[in-house]
Amino acid sequence: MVKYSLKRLVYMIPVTIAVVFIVYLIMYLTPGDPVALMLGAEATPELIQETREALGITKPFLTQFTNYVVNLFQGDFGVSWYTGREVAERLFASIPYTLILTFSGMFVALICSIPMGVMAAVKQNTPVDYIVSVLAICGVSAPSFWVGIMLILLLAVEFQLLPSAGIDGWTSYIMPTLTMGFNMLASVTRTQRSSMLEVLRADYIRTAKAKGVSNFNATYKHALRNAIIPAITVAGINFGTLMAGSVAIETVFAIPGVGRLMIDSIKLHDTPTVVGCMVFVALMVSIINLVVDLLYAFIDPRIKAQYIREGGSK
Amino acid sequence: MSKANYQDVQKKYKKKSRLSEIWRQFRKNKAAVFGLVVLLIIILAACSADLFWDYQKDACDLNIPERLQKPSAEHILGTDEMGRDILCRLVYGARVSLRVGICAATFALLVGGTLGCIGGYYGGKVDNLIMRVTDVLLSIPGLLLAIAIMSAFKTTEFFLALALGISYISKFTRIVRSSILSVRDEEYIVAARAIGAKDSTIILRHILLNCMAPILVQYALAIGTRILSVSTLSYIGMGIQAPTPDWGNMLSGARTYIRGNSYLVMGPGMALLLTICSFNLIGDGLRDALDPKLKK
Repeated sequence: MVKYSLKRLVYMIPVTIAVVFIVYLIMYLTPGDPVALMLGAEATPELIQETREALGITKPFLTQFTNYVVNLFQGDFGVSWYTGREVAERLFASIPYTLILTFSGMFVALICSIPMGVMAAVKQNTPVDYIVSVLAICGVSAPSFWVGIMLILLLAVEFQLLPSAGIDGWTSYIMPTLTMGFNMLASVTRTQRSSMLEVLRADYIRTAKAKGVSNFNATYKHALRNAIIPAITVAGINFGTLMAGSVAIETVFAIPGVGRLMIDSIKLHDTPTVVGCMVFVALMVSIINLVVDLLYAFIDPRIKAQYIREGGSK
Repeated sequence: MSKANYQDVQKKYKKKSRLSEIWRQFRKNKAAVFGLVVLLIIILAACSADLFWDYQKDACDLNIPERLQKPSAEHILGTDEMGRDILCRLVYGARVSLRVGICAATFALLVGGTLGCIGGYYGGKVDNLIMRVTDVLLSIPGLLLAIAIMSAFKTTEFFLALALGISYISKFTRIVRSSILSVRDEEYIVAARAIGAKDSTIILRHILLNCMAPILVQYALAIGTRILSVSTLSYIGMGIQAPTPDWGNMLSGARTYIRGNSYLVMGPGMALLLTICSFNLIGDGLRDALDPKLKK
């Protein structure tokens, strides 16, 4: 188990380097001069050239890339080409916002979608099932930034219950969280419903009922435990999408998170900041995938046995 | 009837019956038919836009005297913050969204599909290389990758489609590869190889035709997600730029004026919801119709 996790953690190193390479290359090919943007219209060509050299932008691509990676593995995210200050400073200041948003969105989605999916499966082909299905298909299809705008219209403009933008106490997180949760709610609900439908028809559920287990216990103790794995997989897979979606949601609600920082930095050609944001997102996605894989082991002893076998054989 | 003629007729009949069987299954799914009808209406509206409006004058040029008018007989959905008819811009926006969405999904299908075919069929080192690259691309969320690529490109429809296509390649690579792996060692493939069929014939005629179902379904869903991404990119200012009408940039333009003018965000939002919804419903319908397990 530990061996398996370690192997996966080590595997993140080449992935991170590759992500840095891709993003650095894209930013390198981006036309426009970050230094001219930073210094403004009055800067003399000499000053621009001097600053470019001081920041190391004049060096060839591979040198810049290697330097960045070497520094990154020493925990140094480099210096912003726009503000001239440490990238880590701004990045770590915006990470909490994005993390709170993503995890609370995921939490809301999970606690709503699993009961909804179970209900839809238990009451298959009844109005409950239809309502859940329509909600789910709308959730998958509705653009999250539009859902956010509609929530603002309803809760901030019409009823004036919540602040419409910015971060000012915990109430500011309610609407962004709901917006984020709504999107994910849909995909998890659909998966939970279909896997529950499958499990409810399994032989062991019939056996359990024949032995006299109550309907409630058969559904929630025997079936749910087996049917929940695909839902958790989907939640895990969607984590990346959720994080990426925070870009739009942070724009709608004016939240100074990682997504906002990245968009702003892209517009300013601030390569170190953009790469820093991307590395953070890629690492988060890899870690969550690992956590999801480990979660299976706790839910399903068969998978745990498999991990132990794999870890032991190598 | 000569033998050749008879085979011809038989072939034709068989082909038709397979398609009509799929259509029969698809028709049973009311939600999927609803999606198809909605999509056809949207396509029809997008095609006939020039009959009712002049693109430059009605959809792009400023018309300040008529700005922010509530829905009325003259402007069914009202006018936006620049005085342009919202319905007109919605219809022209449909063209942009559908064009970019379909091109991006097709590009991803072609490139990702080819890579998946090569990796899945030949295996070995090539497969390993392709899968490692795919793993890396999958660890960057597609939307963020598209945003990064867009920063290097000009914000035109072509580059937008390219960026959104590139960010979806890895998904198709995975799906096509795994479908190919599932049939690669079947007996009929071994038989085809034994009689000396070329690799390209085996892949295209024997393997791909047998695992069309998941690929087609993914393609329908991909168009939906690509359209969603087009609007998201345009909303945050990295996609289609004003004054070209796009549902995403219409919403971002309206954002400042929503207090008291909620109708501004209804049209583009509903258009996006319906279009993406219809692709999702069609994808679900295709999945059920193409699944041989459901056939009786």
